[in-house]
Amino acid sequence: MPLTFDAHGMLHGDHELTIDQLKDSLLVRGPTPSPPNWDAAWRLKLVNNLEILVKQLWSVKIHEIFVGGSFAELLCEHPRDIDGYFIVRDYKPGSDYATGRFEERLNKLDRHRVWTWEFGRRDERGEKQIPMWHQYHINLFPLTLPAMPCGIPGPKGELQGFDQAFRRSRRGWKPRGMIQIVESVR
Amino acid sequence: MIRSDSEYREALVRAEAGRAQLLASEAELRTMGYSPGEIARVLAPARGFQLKLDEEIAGYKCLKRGDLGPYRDIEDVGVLLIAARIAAGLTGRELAKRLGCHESQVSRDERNDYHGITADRVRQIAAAIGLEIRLHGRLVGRADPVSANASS
Repeated sequence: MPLTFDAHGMLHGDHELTIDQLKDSLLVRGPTPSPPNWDAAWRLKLVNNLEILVKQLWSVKIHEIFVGGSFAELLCEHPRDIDGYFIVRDYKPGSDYATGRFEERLNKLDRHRVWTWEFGRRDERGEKQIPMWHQYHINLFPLTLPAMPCGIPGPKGELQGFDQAFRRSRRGWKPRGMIQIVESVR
Repeated sequence: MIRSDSEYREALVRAEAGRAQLLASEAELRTMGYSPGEIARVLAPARGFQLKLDEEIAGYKCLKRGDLGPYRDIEDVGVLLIAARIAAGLTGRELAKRLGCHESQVSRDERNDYHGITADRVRQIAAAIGLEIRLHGRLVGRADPVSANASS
C-alpha cells in the first residue's frame, strides 16, 4: 500500500519498509506539490542516522523496530527527530535487558555509546533528551512486552505503551501510522 | 513544549496519572523479584518522560509569569518566539490576527519551531508580540568583550 497522508496530515496506516525504501518514500521526498518549507535533505539525514542505529539493533537480534512521530506528519516540514520503539520480549529479572548487558552490547557497536535511556543533557529548548537524540536526533525506545507504562499517559491519563503513544499526534491526539523497518522486502 | 492553557491542563492530568503508574509499576516489579538496579533500568524511559512532562509543566508556568528563560543561540529564535507569545498571554489565534494571517499558519510555523524563518519575519512577529530581541556576537576563540568590560 503506498504511503499517504490522511485529511489531518497524518501518515495513514502502518507500513513495512526497508531503510532504502524509506529514503525514497513520501516521508523523505515529500508530497507533490511539496509544502513550501518541506526539508527533504534534513529528513534524509534523519533516516541516514536512523539506519546507523537500526543496524546496531539488528546486530543484537532486535528486528521489530517501528518509527514515526512527527516525522510521519505532513505539517512537520522540518521534524526535530524521528521517534520510534523496538520490542523487547525478554526483560525478566536477570535478563540481558534488565541487567544492562543489552545496552552494553549495543554501546560496543556505537562509538558515541548512545544506548541509554537516562535523560541527561538539555537541548536548545532546555528539555532533557537522551544521548541518542543529541548525537543522531533519533529516539528509539524499548517497548517491553507485556507493556510497562512508557511515561506518556494518554489524554485522559490512561496508561499507554510506546506503541500506543507514538500512534497518536501530540496535539489533538489524531491517529498516526508508523513504519516498521524491515531488512528486506517481504 | 506546552503551548496553550488547554495543553497545560491536559498535561497536569497526565502527569498525575503518570506518577501513579510509575509507582504501581515499581511496586509490581519489586514483587516480581527485580533488583533496584533492574527496576531503574526497566523504568528509565518512563521516568525520563515523566521528568520531561514535569519540566514542561514547570516551564509553561514560568512563561505565563513572563520568564522567557535562557535562549542563547541564533537557532533558538524560533523557540523564543513561541515562548514569547505564551509569556505575552497571546493565543495562536490572537497572534495570527495581529499578523494578518490564518491561525493555521501560526500553528504550522510553531510546529516547525519557525524553521527557516527570515530576519524580516522575526522582526514582524516580535513586533506583534511586543518582544524586543537583541543580538550579541563574539568571535570564536576571543574573550567576550562585554564580560571583560563588566569585570574590569
